[in-house]
Amino acid sequence: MKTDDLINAISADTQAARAPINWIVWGGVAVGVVLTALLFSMLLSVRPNFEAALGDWRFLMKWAFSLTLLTTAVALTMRLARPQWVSDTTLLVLLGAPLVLMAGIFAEMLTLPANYWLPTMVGDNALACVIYIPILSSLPLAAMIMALRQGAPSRPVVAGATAGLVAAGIAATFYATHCTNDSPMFLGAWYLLGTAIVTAAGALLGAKLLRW
Amino acid sequence: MRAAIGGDNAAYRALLQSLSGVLRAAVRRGFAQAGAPLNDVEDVVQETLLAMHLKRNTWDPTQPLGPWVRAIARHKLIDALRRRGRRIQIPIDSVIDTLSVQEDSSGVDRQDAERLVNGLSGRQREVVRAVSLEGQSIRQVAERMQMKEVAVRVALHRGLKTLGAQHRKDQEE
Repeated sequence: MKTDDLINAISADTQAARAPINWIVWGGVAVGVVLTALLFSMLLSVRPNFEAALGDWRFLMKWAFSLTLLTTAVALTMRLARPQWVSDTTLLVLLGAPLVLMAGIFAEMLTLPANYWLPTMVGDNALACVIYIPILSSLPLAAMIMALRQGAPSRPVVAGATAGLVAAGIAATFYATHCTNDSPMFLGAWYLLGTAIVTAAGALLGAKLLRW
Repeated sequence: MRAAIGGDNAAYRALLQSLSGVLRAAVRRGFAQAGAPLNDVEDVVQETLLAMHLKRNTWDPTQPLGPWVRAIARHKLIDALRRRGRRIQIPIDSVIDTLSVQEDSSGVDRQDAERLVNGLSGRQREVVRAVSLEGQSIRQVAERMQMKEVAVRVALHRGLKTLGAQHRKDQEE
């Protein structure tokens, strides 16, 4: 086929274009939040002393971490969904969440005697955290990957990974209301491990599903 | 592009035509820099035009069109060079190709890029052929093939999507 002929065919194709990609990505986030809320309500429950926890800086730290992760990852995913190259320097905004976490760990070190550090970090249901973050992330990750398939990411693996971070951010925000381990030290160990698993899964899916 | 998204076919065609010339020159430079023979240039130009069309929702209308087009072309160029890297080359053939291409580059502009259209089958292929080669309107094709206009439009759109996905199948082979 000659290129001019292809141009004839393309310009005759009057099917409406898809919705702008940033709407689609927002849609993916919204669907992800709703699905995670449903999954959470089926599998887990909000901790009994939830309202008291809202007054504890350690608990709020968990949300500060997960929401920072979520917002930075959503912002990056928006950029990565378009074909324009996104530089490694831009990816550094992802350091936001770890910085929040480090500030929290530092504060915890100042207030907690050193011999409590290890038991605080290990917590009392670390395994549940490492398992539930990926489980709760699965549906929002699927929603985000489906949204990104409508885009044109020039870095599919990175886009998949940030989709994983969005999903983990949503999952961690919900899981934080169930989990009774509030220390940033616990967060730094187990939430991060759960997040890393989801991010790796996202990168793998990105490599498979986001090429175009 | 704004007119095209708004449904102005003539403006869209004019845009694609002028872009195809720019793209051809850019892709040829890219191939030459990579030391690759130039006989797949037209494939990359066509893949880029198709990707632009199918992914036009990733262009932000408040931004200039150029960087977005360049980004897609770059993506398709890298893709093609990578694909090419995996194929086994017969050196003498590619040298001959390069020479003949350099002698008469207008010939390569007119060259058919058959690889793309070979991926279509049945009705999609007929519709794409009729609209592209014979320049028939959707209505004419619908009458001749005894299809509804909507069905022709859908077949054309699906056909273009299949074309856009074609090179990925090549990669997986």
